Parts: sequence; structure tokens; C-alpha cells
Amino acid sequence: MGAKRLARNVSIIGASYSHMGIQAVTPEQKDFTERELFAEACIGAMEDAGVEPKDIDAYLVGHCAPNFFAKATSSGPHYGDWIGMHNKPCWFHDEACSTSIFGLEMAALMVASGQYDCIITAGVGINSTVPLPARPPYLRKQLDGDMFWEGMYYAVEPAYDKPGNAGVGNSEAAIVNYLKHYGYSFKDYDDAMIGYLKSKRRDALLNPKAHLFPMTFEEEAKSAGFDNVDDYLKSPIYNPHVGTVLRGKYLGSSCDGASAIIVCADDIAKKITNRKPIHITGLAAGTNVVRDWAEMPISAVADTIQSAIRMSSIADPSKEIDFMAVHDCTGGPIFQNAEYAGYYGPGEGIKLAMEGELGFDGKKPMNTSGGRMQLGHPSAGAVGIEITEAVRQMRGENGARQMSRIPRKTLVTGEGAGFSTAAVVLENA
Amino acid sequence: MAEMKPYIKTWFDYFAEGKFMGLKCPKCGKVEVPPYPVCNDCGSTDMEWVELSGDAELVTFSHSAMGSYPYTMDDVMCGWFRLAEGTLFCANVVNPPDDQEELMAKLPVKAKVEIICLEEENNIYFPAFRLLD
Repeated sequence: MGAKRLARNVSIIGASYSHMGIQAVTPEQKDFTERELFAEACIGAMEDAGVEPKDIDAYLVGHCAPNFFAKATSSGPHYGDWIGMHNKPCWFHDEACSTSIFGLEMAALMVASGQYDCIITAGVGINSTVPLPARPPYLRKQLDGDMFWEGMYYAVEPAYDKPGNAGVGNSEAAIVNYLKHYGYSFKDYDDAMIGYLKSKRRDALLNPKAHLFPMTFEEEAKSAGFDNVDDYLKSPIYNPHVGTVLRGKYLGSSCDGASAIIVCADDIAKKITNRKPIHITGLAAGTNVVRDWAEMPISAVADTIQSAIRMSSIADPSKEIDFMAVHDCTGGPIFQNAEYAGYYGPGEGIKLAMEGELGFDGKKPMNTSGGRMQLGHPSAGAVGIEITEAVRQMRGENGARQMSRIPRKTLVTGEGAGFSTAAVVLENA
Repeated sequence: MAEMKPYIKTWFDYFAEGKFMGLKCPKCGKVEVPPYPVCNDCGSTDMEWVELSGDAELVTFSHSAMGSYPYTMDDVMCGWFRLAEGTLFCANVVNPPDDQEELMAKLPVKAKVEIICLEEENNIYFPAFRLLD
């Protein structure tokens, strides 16, 4: 059987994301609810594309565990009027951290089907606070630990996968497998993650949408009484282990925010926008459960990535993929996914990270927004941030974080609890 | 049409009897653990309950300080085991060693199932594994 193709050529014509911060304290989103964050991202994407709401046929709203984090159920239509979509069709979905890449894939498939010409898809989440019951949703309380854990609990199949999976368990199962397979030590992993963190902090400090970490690691280490960053980041007080190899700072930094992407048929895009379309040439999705994370490689993830690559025009990923984004809410997939794709060679990811080569100006850039650890992790909107970043890199419009060589082909992957996995190949015209 | 049954309750009830069970596909031999009404290798719905040996090998692990909500909020080692029947299975390790890097170097490590009581009054038990090496 030949490689699959979309029935109609589809491109991203606009993408954006909101400021990433903490809704109660970050001035750029102070007193926002999910609606304002959603509108900020969507209106930003429309402005980026140079289109108006009348040009868009339908909208998708993604939200991770909305019952827990937004105290809302079946709430997709609540968001339509915020972006000029009154009475237009809406789909509401939840694939946890991978929600926004699934939204992109669904939108692309809906446009490719011929049913719609142009769709906006967005993921939104406030993780720091929850609305008070029966009050306007700007009145909120801090998210407490019990509620967080309850939400996490139901994101992992409660019938069969508990007990047996702690908060970071599946990710660590894959990391331990990876380290064992390639003969790396726990210290090697620490050194690689510290290299990754340093490059992502530098990326994030160049990102005007980043608000969680206002200083360099050098300044942060000094303020904590350390002479060098490595000692600070290996400190059991400032970066304690939360598992076998993962430390607190090797996890995504929970934040509040949204991302949005506009997908359009190529024949229609010519009529409604002057923006350079970024073609979607490969897409794939898969699922797995906790016990599958002991596979080496994790078959559902590797197969999904390879399926997306096969669908695109890429023949030699090691030479043709110029840029890659990986969902880095734990320090696991950074290396594995890029190696499954061929963006890094087998076992090479750790060495590249140690050498600090994953920043926007490194040999093999990744997550140049600052990623989930340093820009922040807004759950449902997470992968949409990196899709936006990829689009801007490919247009040569990524400001201070622009790669010196404009990427022609990029691969974005995402994983969400449950577990859902997806991969998309984007190409310049 | 295959008759649907309460698979989850049945599986947990077997634990209360001290039995670690799975559903075996008589067509291709795959053992589904935990149990599902369909064989995920060949698609057969003709599945049969079988008692498992409880023998396994630990293939990877995570010792997390974040607990395993709601079963425990204490730190716990989760193991990923290859059962003797061939299936991958995830469960807690009852005797985690102190030196995790040494454990990684020794993988795979032989293990044996133990049935643990979670709530005696509600008759809830679950499987965990003891490392043997």
C-alpha cells in the first residue's frame, strides 16, 4: 500500500499563543479566565493570518480535564462568541497535553474532507486556579493538591493502571530503558538535562510571551548562594529528585495560557490571505497505556512518528528534518522522540543536550519557545505553542530566536496522558 | 455475539482469592493482563480465564516521590514487568533496593507476584511484585 495523502492540500495560515504566566499574578493575564486566554490566542492567530472571523467556517476547542481545572463541562460553544464564531459549528476535545496537536490534526482532516475550508483550533488551560462554584469565573481559588492529584489520577486508566504508576512513572520507565540501552549513567542524564535547561532558559528569556522565569540561571544560582549553575541544578534543595532520575526542574512548569492555529485549504488560502502557507504534509496519531512504556522503542510513539514521516515527502529524516519540537513536560521524550524520528542519531540526544546544542542557535534546535520547562506548560495549549514556533521559524519571523538556517521541513510531536500521541510534518511552500 | 461480563470486578475478586488471573486467547495464545474481552493481537473474542504463574522479570522501573494516588502518597517504586506468559504488566515493587543505578545495571531482574490487601473491609486486593535477585 502506498503512503497516505490528504484528499485536499491543507496548510497552516495563522498561529499564535497567549502570554504564558500565572493568572493571579502575571500582569499580562491578571484576572483573565479561560475565555480571555482563548480569545487572545485565537485573535492573535487571525491577525497573524490576516483573516477575519467571517473567513472561518468552524472552530475546535481543546481543554485538558475541564471538569477539574475549569469547572466546566461540554463547554466548547461557550467560547464561540469570544472569537466571532456565533452559531458556527464547534468540536470540543481533550487529549491532555497533546490536545492542541490533536486539534490541528482534526482540523486538517476536516478541511481535507471538503466539508469545511477554514477552521480555527485552539487549546486553553488555567492550571493555577479554579473557578468558585456558581460565581463569575474570574472569582477563583488556588488549585489545591488534592484536586490536582484527582485530575492526574483520572488521566491514567483507573481500572487497571493503578496502582503501578506514580506521577512520573511511565516517563521514567522509558528513561531508565533508554539509559540502560545506551550505557548512560544517572549522572549523564543529569548533565544532559542541565544542558537542556540552560539552552531552554536562554530561549525563554528571548521570548516576550515568557513570564515564569525573569532571570538567567546564573543569576538564579547566585541568589540561592551557589557559585555555578550546575551545582545549583544538582542541589537536593533547589532541584530535588521526584523520581529515579527526574528532578523537579526536569518537569514542565505549570502555567496558564492558550494557543491557536488556523488551518485552510490551499485553494481557499490564496483567496483570503497573503500569508505564506505552511503545508501540512504528514500527520499521524496513536494511543498506548502505561504498561507500553516499557517498550524500547515505545512502539505507539515510534510508529506514529514514522507514519507521519512516511506520509510526507521526507526520504532521509536525518538530512531533511531541519527543526523538531517535542512535548517536554517531562525530561523523557526529548531524546527518544527525536531519535525515533531520525532528527538525532541513536543515543545522540543526550550528548547534544550535554553540549548545549538544543537551543535556537545550536546544531539541532528543539522547542525554541523555551519549551514546557522554561516558557511554561498550559496543558491543552502546549503543543500548539511549538507548532506556532515551527511556523514562525519556517517563515523566518521568529525574532531573537530565529534559527540562522530557515527550516524547510519540521516535525512536531506531542504526547498526552491517557496516553495519546501525535506527529505532524510541516513544509515550506 | 460475545456475551459481555464484568471483567474488572471478576479480576479483582480473583485477587481476593489469592489468584493472579488473565484472559488467554485460545486462537493465538496471547494472554491479556489486565483482562480485556478482545485479544489485542488477533481480535478474537473467545477469551478464557487462566491463572498466571506469577513469575516475571522486571524490565524497567521508576521510584517516585510523588506516590501512586489514591493508593499511597508515600514514595513508591513502580515496576514494568515482562510476565512469564509474555505480557508487559505494570505494578508496584514491594522490596525496592536502595541503589537504583545498580538495579538498572542488573536489569532484567526476576520477580514473583504477591497479592496485597488495600482495603480489607471492602475486599480490595491488588498485585505487586517482589524482586528475587
